Amino acid sequence: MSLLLIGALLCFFLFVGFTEIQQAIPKSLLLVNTTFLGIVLEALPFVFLGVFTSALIQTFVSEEMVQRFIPKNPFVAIVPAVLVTAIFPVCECAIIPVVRRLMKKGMPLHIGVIFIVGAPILNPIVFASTYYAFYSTPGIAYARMGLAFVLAIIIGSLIFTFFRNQDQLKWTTDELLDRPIESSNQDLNKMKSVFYHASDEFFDMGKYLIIGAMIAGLFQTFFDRSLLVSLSDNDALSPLIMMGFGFILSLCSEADAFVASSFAHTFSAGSLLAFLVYGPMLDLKSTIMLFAYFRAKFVIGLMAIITVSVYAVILIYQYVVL
Amino acid sequence: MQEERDYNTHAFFRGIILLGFFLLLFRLLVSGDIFLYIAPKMIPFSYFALVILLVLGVMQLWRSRSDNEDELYCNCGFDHAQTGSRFQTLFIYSLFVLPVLTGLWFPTTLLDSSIVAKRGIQYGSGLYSHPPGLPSSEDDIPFDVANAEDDPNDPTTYVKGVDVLADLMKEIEEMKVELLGSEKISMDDERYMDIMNFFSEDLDLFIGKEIELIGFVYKEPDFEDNHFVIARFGMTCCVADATVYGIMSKADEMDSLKEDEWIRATGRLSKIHLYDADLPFLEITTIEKIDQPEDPYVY
Repeated sequence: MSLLLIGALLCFFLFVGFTEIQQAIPKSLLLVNTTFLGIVLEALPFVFLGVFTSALIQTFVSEEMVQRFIPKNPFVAIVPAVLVTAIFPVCECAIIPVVRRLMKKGMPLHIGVIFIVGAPILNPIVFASTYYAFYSTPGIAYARMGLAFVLAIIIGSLIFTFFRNQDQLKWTTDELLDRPIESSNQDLNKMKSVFYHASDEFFDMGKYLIIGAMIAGLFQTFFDRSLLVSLSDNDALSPLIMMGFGFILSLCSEADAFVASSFAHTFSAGSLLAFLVYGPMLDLKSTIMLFAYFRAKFVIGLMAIITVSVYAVILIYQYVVL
Repeated sequence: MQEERDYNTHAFFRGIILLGFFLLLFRLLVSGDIFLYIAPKMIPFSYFALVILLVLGVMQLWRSRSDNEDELYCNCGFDHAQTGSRFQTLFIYSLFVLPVLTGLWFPTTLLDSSIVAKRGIQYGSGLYSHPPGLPSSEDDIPFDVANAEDDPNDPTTYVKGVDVLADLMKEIEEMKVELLGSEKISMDDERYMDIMNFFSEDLDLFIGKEIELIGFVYKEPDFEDNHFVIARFGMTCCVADATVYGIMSKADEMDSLKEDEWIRATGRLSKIHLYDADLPFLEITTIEKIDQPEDPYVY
């Protein structure tokens, strides 16, 4: 019965053209919608990649396994963690659910944060696209990787200094009561539960992606970028402007280098690096996702630490290297 | 009992939404409209998502019909409907329904000159440009393996990446030499971005060559009356990162050319000094209006 209903509904969606409605929609709204759908459709496969990895970890990786691999001394663990992020070729949409899952299995807070800030930049694909986008100045690509490496260490250490290893995740009542996972029919049930976890997590996280994509779509359509150019002269201010711009645009870290290169005539190398380093670590859509998974106080603290560290490191870099 | 029925309903709605996404993606892939949203190199990932959506959607519907409590509850960190009011639940589901509905109902729309006005144009291309303050590749930072090994990150990965890039760069150099040897350059979609890059790199070498290209008309308020830009949108991953490229030009019968109209123009390349820079300029010999091409974007 219900299946028939669905079928009828879907046919209706597919084949009925609402030309009159279509003509009544203002063009600018259609453009917002195009950008919005573009971001959602592009992110969708990577969100699935993230939630499936997370579901596999949930089902197959035990807490002892996670704890065995992480060095006991919190500071000793930092550098290996940054190196591991360089192997994970994932972008920001996929890393957050994976990190949350690993943290629920006992990964320390500051190591999780290192994954969140490091993985989207420190990977071969992002290096290649940055290198290509700034072909004649390969310094940009090397500097991006180097700065991200240094910043991941700094941010990880700061997080440990401020938050130690407090639990900052949101837990549900069920989890605190430690309700056991299904036990009978081991193998079949395990595969099934991977798919159920993945789908539930998709709905849990997808809503934030959608809100983020919506806001980014609005900005992309209505925000006049020449406003930025008029603020590009000030050496201290322009990195901040580009950081804010990177935050709002919410681009995938594989594509942002090409947008950055379109500003190469107007902004200094330092500001471009600020954009390339800050955007993947923290942007509108990832922030909304972070609020979903972590306590609000911690997310605000994390945002402050990332923002201050990136800005300070960029200023030092501008002063010393450029 | 009531709670259990709630779970059934949730799984049912989730199944419908997942299948809705599946249908949207399926239709976009079949009709080719997907290229108006994301770049071709991302399409394999879309097929992956398509399969996942179908599998998950069907599994959710199946789950919604199950009476087995173990299947309904899921111990993975969500309270489902237990937190939040009916209104909140409704709001969250409408968020998911929104892209499906707008994707299916709204006509697919091309980025147009109103977006160009907001994003600004790359005359030539920013791709190979030199940001102020950094030395160019020939001068200072040699492009070699030794440098890559100094990089603090996993060196082997990056050296491999650089090798692939080196091959790519060689191909591009070969294309440039070939173009410099030919009298007429036709800016087809595959080579559009590369040719634009050559113009911004070494404009002087290309001056005097005959150029043929298509694009849409864009005018800026501060342009002289008969000046306009023949513009294209270039996309890397998705429409969110689309950038505008274009060549300045002028036409006498400007009145008949409207913004966003597609044209095919042939002419001789020269340069114009504008915004403190030498920009490519096309002295048009022939111009004709054309229908919007099947692939309005270059990738």
